[in-house]
Amino acid sequence: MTGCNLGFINPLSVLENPGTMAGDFYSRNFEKKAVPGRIILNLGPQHPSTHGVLRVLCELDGEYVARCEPVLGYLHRMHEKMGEVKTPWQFLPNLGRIDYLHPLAWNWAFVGAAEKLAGLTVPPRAEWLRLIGCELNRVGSHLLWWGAFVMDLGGFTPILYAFEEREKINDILQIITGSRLTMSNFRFGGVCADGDSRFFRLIQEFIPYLRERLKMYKGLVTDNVILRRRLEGIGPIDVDMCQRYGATGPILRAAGSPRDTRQDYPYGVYDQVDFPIPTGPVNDSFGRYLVRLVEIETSLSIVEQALKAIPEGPIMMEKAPKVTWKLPAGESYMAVEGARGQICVHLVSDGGQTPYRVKLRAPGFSNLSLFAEAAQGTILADAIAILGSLDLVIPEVDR
Amino acid sequence: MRDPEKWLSSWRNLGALTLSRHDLAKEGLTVSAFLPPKSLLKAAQELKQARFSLLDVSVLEAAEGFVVTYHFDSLDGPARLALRVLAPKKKPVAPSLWSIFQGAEWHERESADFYGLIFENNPNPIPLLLPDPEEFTSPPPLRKTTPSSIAKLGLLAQAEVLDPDFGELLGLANSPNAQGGSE
Amino acid sequence: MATPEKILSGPLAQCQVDPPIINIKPVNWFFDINRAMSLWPVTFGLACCAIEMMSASMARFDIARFGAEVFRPSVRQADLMMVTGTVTKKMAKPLVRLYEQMPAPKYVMACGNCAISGGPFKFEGQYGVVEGVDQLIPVDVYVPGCPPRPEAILEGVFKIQELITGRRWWPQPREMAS
Repeated sequence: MTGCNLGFINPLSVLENPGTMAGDFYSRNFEKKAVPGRIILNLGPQHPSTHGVLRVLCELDGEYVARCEPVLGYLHRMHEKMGEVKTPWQFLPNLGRIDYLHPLAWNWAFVGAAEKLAGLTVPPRAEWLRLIGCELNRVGSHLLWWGAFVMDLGGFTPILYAFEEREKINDILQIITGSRLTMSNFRFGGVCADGDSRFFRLIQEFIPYLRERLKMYKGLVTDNVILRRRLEGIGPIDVDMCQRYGATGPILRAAGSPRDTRQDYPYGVYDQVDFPIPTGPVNDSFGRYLVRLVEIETSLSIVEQALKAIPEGPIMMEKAPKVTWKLPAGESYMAVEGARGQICVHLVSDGGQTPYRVKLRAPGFSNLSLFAEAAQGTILADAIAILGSLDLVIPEVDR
Repeated sequence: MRDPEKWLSSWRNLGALTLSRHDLAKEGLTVSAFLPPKSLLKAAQELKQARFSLLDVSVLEAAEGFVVTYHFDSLDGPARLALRVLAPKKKPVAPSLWSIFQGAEWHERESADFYGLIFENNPNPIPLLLPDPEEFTSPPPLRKTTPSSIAKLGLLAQAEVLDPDFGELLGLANSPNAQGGSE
Repeated sequence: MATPEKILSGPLAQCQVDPPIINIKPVNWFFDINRAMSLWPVTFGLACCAIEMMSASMARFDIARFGAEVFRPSVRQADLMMVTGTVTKKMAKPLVRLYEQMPAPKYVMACGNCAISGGPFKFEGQYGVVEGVDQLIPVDVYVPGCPPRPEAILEGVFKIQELITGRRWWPQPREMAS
């Protein structure tokens, strides 16, 4: 049987000798440690989930994932190279595109790093507008995650509701940023547009509306027996694993550690708002799900406090940097709490036209690196549930 | 949680080349140090036992070599610090922290993609973000044609230089009393 | 203008279509209208534009009114490939492979600036992005924007329907008609 020339790859010889399969560099590298009798499966780079172009090479023992390795780089868009080639002003649109679901947090990370380096002070009204925008954006990001996650698990309806709420948030944020998705209204020394009376009225109407809807979602989705059975006990990630992989954000909070950059390293006016940090009772996928839903409510309460506290005043500092502004020499490190975890920008400049090094630390990068260990030994469907509960956006992972 | 000063003294015992105190509000760090590569693993082990986690591995190319900065953050509260290693251009090798922090594997593979650095004992040293080497034959993308010196970048402006050879290599003021104020 | 380096090792994507079995004009016209009113897109969201494609299929903008709501994950069941997002050189091979796996007749819509020409990621010294998906596969409709609004994606679908049937079936918005 192995000797005859059938004109195609003989399946029996392939099973005995997994290294003879066609494939590319990554699958050949993965197969070096393959055990005969197991299936090597490619999840992606094109697949029905919504996080983007992620490829996961899995070695399946029946239905169980014996070993898996994510392959990245299918959306590597050279942001760090552009940081060195473009001036700080020219780099601002990039930040909307690194993580398009929470772009205002990335804006804050880079603009905050540059302002720290140059010692600029932002006027209070701009700080409050930044905070309102960032928190509403966080609500939108969590809503999309929620709809897409439940769709990954098989329930198609919630995403329709989630997107409708997101459209309302986009209508609000369009007023101050001008975009629906890849927003960048931060400027060095303030924000570019002020909110008018319609902006504040829409927010005032939106908050109680979403609170009512969240009650409905709790009854229909969170308390749904199918969702519970799919998520409870799946993919426990404890604090030790988070420490070894550098995971931050809702994953770390669900594991039990109350770390939130908004309270540990306060930036902007976060020290003037009061909010609890949700830590999950359990560290499995359901715990991570609950933490994010509580964070939606927390963000709404922060926006309520901000609407009462926002003062009148200018939205750009006096003598704000112009388009030809150069950063002074030195380095600075700015951390911001994004929807997925801690976003950090390490900015080094030598005083020239363009920054010397812009290192972008994406939370999804560290969160995804623990997937290989968390998904080991699980059923493939549970591995997809764990992947969804990590809340990944691949452009941020690949940068 | 340990006081940052205690970290500085433990790094001094490990043979640190420079020690710096920073202004957390401006530079985002409490303390940092340049370590010789052979002490890095021991320092990282101490940090892991003190409940620190690795935030990222950030590499930049200076005229004297590659400055590999490891940023750590504590799980118990705000205390961000950085350890740096200088990898000379002739021998661009840095130690891998994979055995202590498994998340370092991907950070190091990414830095190797961008700069061509080699991290010893990294378990899977294949390209992470770039296409495979059979298809992508360009040089490492973030290399510079005219790199600036560390002194020009202002990385060690307020550092305490402990090793005179290192200070000479970087052209820094060699006095051990150059201290920056920290609030 | 720099010439694009060879991204794929072989010739351009194979896209020949055999002539129809029944070649009578009214029958072709009938089939063309049916095809246009029930396009099945493939879920080929690469980057930010994918979210706008999803918004176009959701409740507010509702692509289902125009027939294109059945997004198929498998290319073998789809006939419209909306390339939404940046195509990197690493993704070029899977993209061409997916295009070749689609059964004819198939249509391609390059959605967003990145798919049209590389978009904001085209700069001096760029090393990873394919400057426009039309370097890899033939494109029928280009929808500009970064990202294009869901209304623009719907107009792109209308243009594909116009290319298939020869006329536009939906009313033009007042602002566009002038």
